[in-house]
Amino acid sequence: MLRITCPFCGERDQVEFAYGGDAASVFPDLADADLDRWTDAVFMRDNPRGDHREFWQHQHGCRQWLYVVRDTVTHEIKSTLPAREPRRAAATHEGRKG
Amino acid sequence: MPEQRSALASVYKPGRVGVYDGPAQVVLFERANRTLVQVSGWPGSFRELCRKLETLLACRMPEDGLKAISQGQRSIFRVGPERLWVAGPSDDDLLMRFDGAALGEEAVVTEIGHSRTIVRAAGAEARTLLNRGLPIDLDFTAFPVDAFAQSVIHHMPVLVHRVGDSDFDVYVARDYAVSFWEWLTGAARSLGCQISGPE
Repeated sequence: MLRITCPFCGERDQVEFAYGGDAASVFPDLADADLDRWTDAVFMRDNPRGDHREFWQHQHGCRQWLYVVRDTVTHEIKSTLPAREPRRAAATHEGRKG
Repeated sequence: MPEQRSALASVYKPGRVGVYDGPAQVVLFERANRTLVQVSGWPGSFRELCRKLETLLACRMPEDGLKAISQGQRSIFRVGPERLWVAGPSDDDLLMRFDGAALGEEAVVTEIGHSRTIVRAAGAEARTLLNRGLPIDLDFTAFPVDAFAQSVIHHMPVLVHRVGDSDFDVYVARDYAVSFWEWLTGAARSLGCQISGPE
């Protein structure tokens, strides 16, 4: 069972949250007609050992979307940020890649 | 406004629940005479909106999603970063106050009283009862008076508000009210439970 710290509601049980997908994939511009890039964005997912960036929604709490970094080996939740703060989320993303 | 019909009307039966005939350790009743108003704002102007609401309601606005502000019969919950619930008695003049305050585009005010059923669980074992389904630590040190949490009981979304040492108000969506009541009274059977008339 995961315990996720919502930035607004505090540490809560996983049952209150819904997984919202891979946050690492970057979608092409809507005007981009390249089929390979779209196929890659829509269907191809990394399966990293270690940190994984993902979206979760605090569905039964404050309803906010969160940007979560989770370790796929230990299930440790390393950070959570409101997904609407893309700059902070991107900085966390870049920091963890390095 | 049409008279509000309780969502629990078909299942609400005052009396003892279960076979335990000792003193009731939990008392359950519906708080039917309450109103609930949602006030939503926007990220850039929510602080300013809160200042206006503080003047309007003559009390502080909650800072976070952990602790409600209660004043008299009213309780104010910050249920989202820019969303407040104001609960009060059904004869509260909340909507008139908000209408008269000319909040304009700074706020969206919605009366949602009919969308929620409010159940009071009181008594020495109220905490034990709720914790049979609620994944929140209700110990007094972690969840003092006026603490609240939006969570889930038996897959049903709820807002739980501690209103006294051993008193809790549970706000449950009207659609789930009957299912929630069945779960609650079922879970209370072993505790010595009294259902009293709606307040």
